[in-house]
Order: sequence, then structure tokens, then C-alpha cells
Amino acid sequence: MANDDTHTPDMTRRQFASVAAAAAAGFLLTACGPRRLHEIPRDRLRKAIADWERDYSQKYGKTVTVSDGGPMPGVLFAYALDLSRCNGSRRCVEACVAENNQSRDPQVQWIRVLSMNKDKGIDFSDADPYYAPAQVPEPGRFYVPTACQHCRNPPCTKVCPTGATWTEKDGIVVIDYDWCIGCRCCMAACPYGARHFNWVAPKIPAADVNPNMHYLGNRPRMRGVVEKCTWCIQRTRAGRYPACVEVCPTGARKFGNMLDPDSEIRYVLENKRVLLLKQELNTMPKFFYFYGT
Amino acid sequence: MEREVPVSSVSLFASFVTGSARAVSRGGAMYWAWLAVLMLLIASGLAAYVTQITVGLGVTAMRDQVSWGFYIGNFTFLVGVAAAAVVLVIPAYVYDWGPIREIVIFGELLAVSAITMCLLFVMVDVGRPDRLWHMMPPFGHLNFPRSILAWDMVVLNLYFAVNFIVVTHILYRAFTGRHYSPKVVVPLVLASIPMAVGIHTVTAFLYNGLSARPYWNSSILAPQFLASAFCSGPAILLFVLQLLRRVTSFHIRDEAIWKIAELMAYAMFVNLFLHGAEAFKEYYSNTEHLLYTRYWFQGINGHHTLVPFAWTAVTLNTLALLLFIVPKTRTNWVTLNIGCLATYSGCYIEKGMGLIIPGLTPDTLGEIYEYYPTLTELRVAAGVFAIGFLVFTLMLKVAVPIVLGELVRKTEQLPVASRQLWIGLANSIQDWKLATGNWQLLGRKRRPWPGDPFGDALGEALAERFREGAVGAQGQLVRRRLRQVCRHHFIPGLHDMRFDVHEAGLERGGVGRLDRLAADRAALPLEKVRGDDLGAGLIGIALDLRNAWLIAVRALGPAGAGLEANIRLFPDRGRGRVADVDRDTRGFLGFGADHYALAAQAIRGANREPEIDRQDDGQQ
Repeated sequence: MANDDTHTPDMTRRQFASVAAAAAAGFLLTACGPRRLHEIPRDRLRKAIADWERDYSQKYGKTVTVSDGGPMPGVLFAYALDLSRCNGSRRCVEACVAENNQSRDPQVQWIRVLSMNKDKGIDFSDADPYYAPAQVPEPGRFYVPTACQHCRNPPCTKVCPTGATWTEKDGIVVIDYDWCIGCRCCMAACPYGARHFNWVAPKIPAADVNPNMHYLGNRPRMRGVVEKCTWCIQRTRAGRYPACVEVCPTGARKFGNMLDPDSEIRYVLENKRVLLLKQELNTMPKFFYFYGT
Repeated sequence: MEREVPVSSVSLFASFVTGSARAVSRGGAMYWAWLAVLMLLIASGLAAYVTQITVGLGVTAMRDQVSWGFYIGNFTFLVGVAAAAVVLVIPAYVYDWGPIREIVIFGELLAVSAITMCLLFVMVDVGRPDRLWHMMPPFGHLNFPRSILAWDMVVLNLYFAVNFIVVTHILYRAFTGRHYSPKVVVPLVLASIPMAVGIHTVTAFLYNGLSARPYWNSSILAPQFLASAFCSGPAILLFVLQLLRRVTSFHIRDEAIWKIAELMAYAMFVNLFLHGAEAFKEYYSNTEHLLYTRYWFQGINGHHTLVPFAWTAVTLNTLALLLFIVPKTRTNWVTLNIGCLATYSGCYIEKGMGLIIPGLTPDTLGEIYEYYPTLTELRVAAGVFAIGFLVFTLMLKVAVPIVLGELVRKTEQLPVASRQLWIGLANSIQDWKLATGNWQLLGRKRRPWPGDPFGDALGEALAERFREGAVGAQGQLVRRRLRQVCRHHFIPGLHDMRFDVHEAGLERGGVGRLDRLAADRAALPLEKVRGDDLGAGLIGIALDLRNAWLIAVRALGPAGAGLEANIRLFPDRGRGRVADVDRDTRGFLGFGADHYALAAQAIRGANREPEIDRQDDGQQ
């Protein structure tokens, strides 16, 4: 028994030491290791941004800035699209690809414009995303551009096992590309086909890279993660319109702060009859469709 | 001295490991050919996976439209297989139905390998396997309880842990000749029942909860998953059990296999019924949600890659139901195996191809992308299956001999016994008394050899045999004596698994000889009795030849293991009095050695007549 008595504290001390070592390692990893951008402290975000800026500038041979712009108080973004104006030119797709550094090979496009039959109305089972006529609009067709609907009740953020995607305070649903494990649950959950996966490493010619980036937005993605529309977070948080709104040749796209009574988006919501895609799913999109004329 | 206990339990575990390694490194040509095939598949899968890792998931046929495919389909199927253990555990433990109990351990081994495959399929499916730690707190962030995938990872890992602990515990204890501890096993086994239901329910909810996919967003999904799991898991197990019966001496009763087939018939009925209910709802109401069901059964607009799969699955499942519901075809080995194959293939197609792909086709924006797995995907999947089968094979290779009592700690060869051997044994009676005395000196309150696996297992098995057996008047005396011995020395009421093993051992060991010997016990033709003869052991016990049973029982394998383990495991039992007990253990080992030395000496040349203790009260 005496042996036991002298021995027991030894074991305890050893156990204590290993527990303490594990705790210390855990603390270090938790404190200094990779961290979700959702909860990253400000100082570490600034450091990460400096690293990204340096790396991207080096990689693409131009001065890249990565904004850390946060949500502005009193702002809740919303989007409206006039289905009667859209002529299916897909300029928005091009502008979006250029603005948001989407892969050119293979092609990743956050906006998908569906050509639909006027006789059938909005019927996805009859939609054609690959329409290629000599001229748009085609007779008898109308166009429904889709992209992330930035739902207020987003099914995608709910299912993410790692919390790599969330809704920002200004209503933008974002993805932390460095935290996403690529399980693609969110893609299965999204009723709008808004999420896109990098099945192989995305390729963008260095010359085409948009150097104005945002840490939650258009900075380059890597193979094996999910990406999607961020309402051009790098532009809209700096007070500009999203690229698709700016480029739309027919002015079908409206964007603004839903909380501002004088905004264009409020005008649309108050004066037009708006509709939501797949309203029955209760996703509550902040992306409204309307027939302006 | 104080280090003896950890060292000896470490060395015990080390011998468990080396014994297991020895078991897996021995086998016939078929065994090695099977391993070679598995290794080839694993190598091919690994090569394909390396491509997938370096290039990306683009080497699969998955795209944004169909973002989950073959991997996730296999994952879903295997969760069902893993849940299969519960099918066996429920009747075995809840209804106390004997024959299935011996099979339970194989169900649990199957569960362990199936979960291994499940986790591997998740791993090969994710885009960034290097970041899987992101979902492991405290370093990562698990979106629990909101994300169903987070739930799934939690329950799958828990289920894996529970089954792994139970299986390892039972095998390790069996290896060291002890009973498993009911305190460990019973709660875990009971917990594994709701957990098996849980893993499959949660996996169903993974799809079920996605309102974006009407094909999955139906409350029938989870019950249907369970029904098909209760078919596919046992189907595999039935193959394995038949194989085990053929290539090992493991005793599995026909009724156990037929009972499982009967359970499968009910499960298959429920499965088909739920499918039918779903098909009725879709086709009769004919909403836009019918698209997905139509894509599976009929194809849409010329897209009908999956249609042959759909009808093959329906045909196979129906065939299986018919074969299993009719008792005649259920108990015929040919039709039974056809039924198993049909069930396995039917459920595999139904889950592997028929659940995930139609759920995603057409996609949420109406596009039809016809998914069909690429060669890379097939190779990776085959590799994962090969890993699972390898794990299962190796675990079986270790488990079967342990359960059979063939793989146990052995220190010395059993000498060929003769009548002289009995003399040696009889002479060593003093050591036995000494040992018992030592034990009592240590302050144990319990009887010597408490819970001795030999004692309760063999004793009970013998009692059972005597209850059944046609034993003559002399046999009645033997039986009475046996009971006295059992009551005096041993604890009856043992666990059935061990019991059955011993019973199986008895059958092999020549019970007939026992009866014969028992009948002319007075004459005791000991020269006819060899040391590895079970009858010798039984007679030895019956006549209370004291040490005679030691050697005879040692010949039995499992019981011998029990004896051996009892000698070795004193440190464990004497926790708190480490040094003393350890010293005592050495005494015991010495006792064993002396004992055999005596026997050997006797064999070599002693011409003495056997000094057999004949004060048996049965002899009058």
C-alpha cells in the first residue's frame, strides 16, 4: 500500500501535466490557429487582410486591396428585378463574372438567366438556361434571372455543419471560403441553385482579376469550396450598386436599403406588385421580382 | 514492484495485439487471395482518390446541378447496414432469444466496419478533407444543433464508439478468459438500439429537412430508411454467417438464420409498402413534385439513365419479399441466398442510385443533368468498400477464434497425458490447496476462483448437457456429484455467449465418451483417456479428482484459457494489493510449471500406480 501511496501522486502529476499540455495546445490552436471569419477578432482580421493583399498582389502582379468593410448601421439590403424589362441579354452575367473574379475555366456564374415560355409563366421545369438565339429577346419568351436570393430564412446557412456561411447584419448571406469544408449541404438545401462549387481549381487570367476585393466577397476562391453571389459586397458596402445593377441595359435591376423610406427599392416594394420565387418554401427572399409595366 | 500492475496489463494487452496479429497473418489460399483482391481494390481506389485530391471533385460526374452522387448514396446505404446490428441485438437481448445471441457480436463487427465506410465516404465526398477538423470543437466549430449533418457526425461517431467498445471489450475479455463485464456491455448494447435507429433517422433527416428537394422532403423518408436498413444489413450478415459456418467451426444454428430471414421479410414488406404509398401519393396527386419520381421510374424528356436501375430495384425487392415470406423458400439454402442477394442489390440500388440522384434531378431550376458515376468515382467507392471489407475480414479473423476459444494465451504445450499424468495431477493437489490458501490469506472475502470462466461456463454447460443427455443410473450419480462440485466451487449462471461456445466445444469434444466413461466409472479405464480428451475432464470433475480437472479442462481451449487467464489475471482482481497479488501470481505460475513438471516426470518413467482420490460419495 505504501508503494501505492507514493505512486499515486506521481500519476496524478503526470496526468495533470498532460492535461495541462493539451489545454495549452488547444488554447494556442484556438487562439492563433485558423478561425472562422464570422467570429474573428478585428486585429486578426486586419492581419489576415494584410496577408491576403500581399499574396494576391504577388500572385496577380497588380495592387490588390481587400476591404474589411462591415455592415453599415441602419442598412438592410434588398434587390428587385423587373421581369417585364429584362430582355435576356445576360450582360449582368458577364459583369458579375468580371467583378467577382469567378472562374473562367471552368465557368462559374453566380447569375443564371432562365428563358421561359410566356404561355406557361414561371415554370422551372420548362426553363432553358442555355438559350442562344441570334437576338434577344426571342418572341414568346421572357427571362427570369436568378442568383442568391439572400433569404431572411436561409436554408443554406442552417444546414452548414461548420458554420462557414451566415447572414451579415445588412442582410447579405456570405461564405467563409477558408472555413468551408465543401460538403455541399448548402447546395442541396438552396431552392434557387444559387450556390456553386469549385469542382476543380478556378482559373482567372491575372489580367482579368478585379483587384478591388472584399474579405467576404470576391477574393479568389480555392478548389473544393462553395461560392455564391454576395450582392457585390465590395461595392455595396462602399455605397455603390452591384455590378449587375449598374450594367443592366434595360434598368430592370433595382437595389437599395430596405430600411430607407426614400430608397428606390422601397418605392418598388410600396408601389409595385412583387412576387417571390418559391414563396411556399418560406425562405423569405430579399430578392423581389415584379412586373414594372 | 508498484509498476507490476500496469506492466502486466500492458503485456496482457500486448499479447492480445500480437495474438490478433498472429490470427490475421494465418489463413488459407482463399483467405490470402481475398486479401489480395481487397488490397488491389484499395490501391486502385487510393490512386483514384489521389487524382481526385489533386485535380478536385471535377473528376467525378458531380456538378452544381447534381451536387451529391454515388459517394453520398453509398454513405446512405451503409448507414443502413450499420444499423443492422440492432436487428440482431433487439431479439437477442430484449426477447432473450438464444440462438441469435451468438451472432450479435458479428452484427456489431459489421456495424463497426460499415460506419468506417460511412465516414470514409463522407471524407471522399467533401471538397476539403484537409479541413474536416473545422467541424470538431474546440478547434473547429460544429453548427450543432442546427445542422443535421452536424447531428449525423455526432451520432455516427458515437455509434461507432459504442460498437467498437462493446466488441473490443467482449473480445479482449474472451481472449483473456474472462466474462465481459455486464456493467460495461449491457448499458452500451441497450444504448446502441435507439442509437441504431437514431443514426438512420438522422441520416434520413439530412435529406428530409431540405424543402428545396421535394423528392426528399417527405415525412415517409425516415421510416422508409429504417425499413430498408432492416433488409440490407441482415442480408449481408446472412452471407457472412453462412460463410463462417462453412470455413470455421463456429456453430450457428439454422433457426437463427431463418429467424433473421423472417425479420427481413417483414422489413421488406414495410419497405415496399412505404415506397408504394409514396408512389401513390406522387402519381395520384400529380403535382409538380412528380417530376423526380418520374425521372426515377420513367425518365423525363428522353432522359432515362436511371430507369433500368429503378425497375431492377423494384423487381429484386419484390423477389426478396416473396422468397422470404414463404417459409419453404426461406429455409431452402439456395432460395435463401438468392433472396439475400436480391435484397442486398435491391436496397443498394434503391439507396445508392435511387435516393440521391432523383432527389437532385431535375435541379432546383428545372435543369436535367444526367448523372452517372465516372470511373474515378467507381474506383474510389470500390476502394472504400474494400477497406470496409478488409476491416471486417480482419476483425472476423480475430474474433472468430477468440469466440471459439482457439486464440488464447498459451505458454506451454499440453503434455500428452496418460494414466501417469493423472498421478502427476493428483500429486500436485498440495499446490492447489496452497494457492487457495494464499487467496484466502490475501483477505478476499469471496470463494477461491470466484467467477472462474471455467467454473461457471463449463459447469453450466455440463449441467445443461446432463439435463439433456440420456445418461444412465451411473450418469445420475455423476450428475449429482457434478452439481455438488459446481455448487461448491463455481458460480453457475453464466453468460449465454460463452455458454454456447462451451456447449459447442462439448459437442466437438466427445460427450459420448463422457457417458461411456461415466457408466463404468468404477473401472475408470484411465489409460484410454488422453489429456486432450474432454471426457477426462468431465470425469475428473465428476469424481472430484481435484487437480485432474485442471489439466483436462486446459485441453478444452476456452476453458483452458479461462484457467490460464485466471492465473494471469490475479493482478487485476487484486487491485489495491498490487505487490502481494503479483507475487502471488508468480506463485501461481510456478505452481503451473511444477505441476506440469510432475506430470512430465510421471510420464517419463514413474511406475507407480495412480493414486487417485476415490473418496467420491457417488461411489457406493
